[in-house]
This record gives sequence, C-alpha cells and structure tokens, in this order.
Amino acid sequence: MRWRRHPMGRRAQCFQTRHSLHAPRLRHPAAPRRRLFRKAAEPPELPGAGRRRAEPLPADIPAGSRGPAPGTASAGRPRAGPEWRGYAEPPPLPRPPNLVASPPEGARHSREARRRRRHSNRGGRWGGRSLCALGLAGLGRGAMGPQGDTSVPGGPAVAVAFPGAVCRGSGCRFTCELLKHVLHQRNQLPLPYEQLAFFCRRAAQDGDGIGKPHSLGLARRKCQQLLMELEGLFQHLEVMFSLTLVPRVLFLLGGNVMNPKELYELNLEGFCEGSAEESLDTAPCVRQLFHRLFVADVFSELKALPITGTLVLVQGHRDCGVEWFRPKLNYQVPTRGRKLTVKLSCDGDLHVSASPPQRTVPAWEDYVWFQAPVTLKGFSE
Amino acid sequence: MEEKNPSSPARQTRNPAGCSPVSTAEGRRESPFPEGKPLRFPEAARAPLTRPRAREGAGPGGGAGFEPGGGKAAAMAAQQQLGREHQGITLRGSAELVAEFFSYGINSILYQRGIYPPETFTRVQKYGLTLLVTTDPELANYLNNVTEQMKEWLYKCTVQRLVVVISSIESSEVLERWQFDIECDKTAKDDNGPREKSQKAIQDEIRSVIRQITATVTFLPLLESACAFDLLIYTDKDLAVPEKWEESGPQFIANSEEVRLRSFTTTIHKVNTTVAYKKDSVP
Repeated sequence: MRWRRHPMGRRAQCFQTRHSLHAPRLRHPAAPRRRLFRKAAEPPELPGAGRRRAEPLPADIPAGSRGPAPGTASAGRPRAGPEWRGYAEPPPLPRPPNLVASPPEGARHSREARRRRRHSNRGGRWGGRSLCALGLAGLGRGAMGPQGDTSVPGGPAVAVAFPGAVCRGSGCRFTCELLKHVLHQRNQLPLPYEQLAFFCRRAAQDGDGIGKPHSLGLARRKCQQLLMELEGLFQHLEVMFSLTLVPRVLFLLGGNVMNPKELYELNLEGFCEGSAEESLDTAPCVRQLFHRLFVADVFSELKALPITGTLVLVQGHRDCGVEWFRPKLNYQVPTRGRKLTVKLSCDGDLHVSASPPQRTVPAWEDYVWFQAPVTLKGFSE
Repeated sequence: MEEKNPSSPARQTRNPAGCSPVSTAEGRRESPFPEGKPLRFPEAARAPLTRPRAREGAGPGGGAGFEPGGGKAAAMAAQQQLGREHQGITLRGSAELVAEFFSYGINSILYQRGIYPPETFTRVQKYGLTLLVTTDPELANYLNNVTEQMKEWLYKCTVQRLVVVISSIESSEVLERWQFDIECDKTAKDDNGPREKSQKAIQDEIRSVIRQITATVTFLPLLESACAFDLLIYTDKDLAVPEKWEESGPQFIANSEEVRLRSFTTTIHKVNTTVAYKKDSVP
C-alpha cells in the first residue's frame, strides 16, 4: 500500500495507520465531497482537504450523517465551538447516476451506515434516501430541535408543572437526581446513590479490601469506578447547563445509542429559571417531581433489567463550547424500546427576570445532541 | 376476605382535623376495620440511640441478635411449609412471610428516615435487593419480639394493622405514620391444602413494596430533628392484651398528606401500605 501524504501531515498519517488493513479508498471524481465522522476524536479537516477512496460513497447517506460509532473510545475532545462550523454540511451536489446503492463489503463505515439505515428505515429498503433528502434540506446539520425531532408517541409520560420559575441551576439538579433514581429503580445500583457512596467511603476508610474474597473486592472496585464516573458526569453536566440551554436530556439503558432497551427523556422545554429572589427553591421542586413519579408508579410493572450500560445524551447549542461531551450531529432519538418522558414546566406568574421557556427559543437548528463519553456500567452485590 | 365489621366507618384512618388530599397509586379506598384502640409496645417509644461498632461481614439475617422471621430455624420451617413452588403456601407459611416482610420493612424505614445512625446498619440480600438491617442489639431484640408476636397473631388472623409512628423527641409531634393494613382470609384456617401461589411471585410483590419504601425518601419531607418511633398494632376487640403491650391512641398527624404504596398478597394475607406525613408548608 502506498502512503500518501495528506496536507495535514502527521495526523493524517496516523489516520491512515489505523485503517491500514483496508485498501486505500479513491474518491470518485463525481461524488460529492463528504465529511465522515469515524471517531469523535478526528480532528477537523480543512476545507479543500480530500480523501481518496477506492469506491464511491453511497448516495443515500448524507454528508456528515455518520456520527461517532457508538461506544467508540476516543481520546480527543472535539470542540463544539466555532471550529464546528467547519463541519457544516457542504452545499448539496447532484447525485451522480453511476453510484451504487449498496456500500462495498467489508467497509466499516458502510456497515455502520447499513446499521443506521436499518434503524431509520421504515418505508422501504432505501429509507436511507429519505435521510439523504432530509440531509439535503438542512436537517442533516443537526437541527434536532424539538420541533424537528418529536418524542416517540405512545410512551408513558409524567408531566410536572411548577407554580413558578425555579432557581438557576435547577435543570442540572433535576437531571442528576433523575439519573440516580432511574439507575437505582432499574437495578443498576444496589442502593440509592448517596447511600452507596456512604458505604463505599466507609469501606475505603476501614480498609475492607484486605483479606476479603476476590469477588467482594471486585464488586467494591466496580462500585468505586461507577461512583467516580457518576461524580464526574454530574460535574460535567453542571458545566454543560452553565454553557447552554438544555431542552432535553436522554438516559439510554441497555442496547446501544441507536437502539437502547429503555429510554428516559427529561423534557425541559417549558422550564423556566429565575433569580433566587423571585423563584422557587430547588429542593421542594425536586420533591414535587419525585412525588409525581412515585404516584405514577412507572417502575413497578417493569421486568427486572439485567446489569447493563447507561448512556447520557443532552441537547445543547452547537456553539456552546462544551469540551467533554461529544457532539452527535444528525442523531435521531430512537423509536424502539420502552420510553418514559418526564416533562417539566413552569406555570403561574413568571417574573420578568425569569428566563423564557425554552420553547420560545428560535433557531432550533443550532441545537444538537451531545453524548457523554462514558458508559455507566451498573453493578450488583 | 372476611371482614370483622364491614360497615365500620373509616374514621380511624383519617386525620381528625379533616380529610387531607390523598395521592394514591391505586385509588382511594375505605378501611374496613372496626374502631379499636391499637396496642403499643412501650419499649419502642424511646429505643436507645446507641452507636455500636458496625459489624462487618454480617450475612443474611443482619447483625447481632437480629434474625428476621424469628430465626433461621423458623425460616427453614417456613421454607418447608412453603415447599416447592408448585405446592403453594399454607397459613403458617404465609404468617412467616408477612412477619418477615415487617421485619425488613421496619428496618428499611428506620434506616431510610434516619431514625438511627446509618453506621448502625449493615447490608443484607433479601428479595433480590440490598436491604439495610440494624446491628444495634437492643433494637434488634426489640424487633424480634414484635415479629414473633406478629407471627402468632397473623397465624390466628387476629391482627388488622401495624403502624410505625415517627415522632419528634423534642416536641413529641407525630411527623410520619407508616400504616400496614392486613386483610386475612380466615377460611384458610379450615383449609387443609395449601394455596396456589409461588414464593417467587410473592417475593416479587414484596420487592416492589420494599423498593417503594426506599423511593419515598425522594419526596418525604426531611426529618430535621431527632426522632423516635413507636409500633402500634390493631387487633380484634376481643383479643387479650399480651404482656408488655398496652393500649394506645392512634397518634394521627395534624395536617397530613397521604400516599399509598403497592400491596402484596399471599392469597391468605394481604398487606396494603400507606404513608402519611406532615404536609410541607413550602409548595
């Protein structure tokens, strides 16, 4: 295989190294230039940088629709700031007539593309063409605002209306508390988070790892790792909420990011935050939320969920500048699996200082999904 | 199931100050129980808040002195009574199961509500859950006594309700009231054969209730002051008051709100759980 030097130099060489097992791909002269997101850590390409591919890209996959592969470990931290404008979709070009619909065999990105088409395809074999059409219409840029990506109808929903605006920072608090609650109720944590943290800290202080069976030590290590990951996630969520409005949050249990077993959505579109003087305290509102969830009894009828991984996705402005979360352009909320929607809103008299409900925010096309780069692996004792 | 007095008013279940808004998961229900003063086990009123060293490595059954269901031998006897899953459940086995549930349930309440320090509890596995049971020997002994007495009354179908009252030590004001209503099918006394309900199904239902008890901590008001608990048991009117028990008042909460938890049934005993708490002044 001949190594070609990319204008980006060393980084491109590393890219080719990772894919050394595949034949070099030559770019079809008539094929529209595509931006591929193989991994989240892939550095942004300069305009004009091209790739050579052996086979033309399938036309039914819109440019830039391939987000990072689910569960892909990535060391880099792509910025969702102004540099992301470089990832904006190029103007659509007419599809060349001689492009084959089937991607070449053995191509990793094509397998992923088939998987994505399979999940999104509803009306026929080439449902991906609908994706392409949507992508050409501009929705491929990640315009996953609530208007463009409505929740799955038919799933149970719990609506909580607060009698006024809530303190700033409450959205993050609701998110964290709901995540802890869901993890415990769905058997991913043996105890509620705070209680588990207490016992874990006490065990660490007492030095219980000495002389204990291996299985006990393994469970303790899993517990500590999960608690550390959760703590880190909560801190990054706080940063995220401080950088941008967050209209929706997703918790995906089991399966993968495209096809989870259970999906929990926290809808904050109608949520208002205000100053401390004119808004409700967070703690009573949290209790109100969980009281409502308790009365709705949404977890008791569910079958026991085995220990699995949990993914967290949040919606935010594409230019918010968040570093830890990974953008997932063109991410579609899964339509399969069990789903519960928790919708928070603020009614009553809202003070003029309160932030307006997020439904009045225009430009939803600038809001994209971001995924936390950790998979929360549950454990049991 | 047979009721002692089906036309009895439900006054004893309501706040004397008036009806409070009730939020239930299964709908509002009237209590069939006759009026009667509950029995109280006096030693529970001010259970010692000792802080013994937490016992590590306590296996199922909890710490020193605590053996749910009245002991390992009794648990084995219950298992023998239950037999295999397809053989069903007897009156004795049902009484054991329900008494065991009360043991773990009361322990969970005491831990979740912070009545006793968390370091005085240890983790055990039961019903497929990680539960917390006390390691305080005096408290464990007290709970054992109550459990044994409950088992006997459940077998005789003479107990109607168990109430855990949480009150402030300083002001003696009742802050929370956990009420377990028991309905007993007395025809089971005459039946020779077991009822067809598997232990797994019963444990699944109990697990849901225990999980809900844990979940209540997310919305119940914080108990900011030091609290103690009382155990009240409603029995049939003609039952002789055993030793160490005394009659007591219902100890209702002023201005309360009530939430109903799920119920479970062994086909012989059915237990409905409700928690009443002091209404928040803050919306």
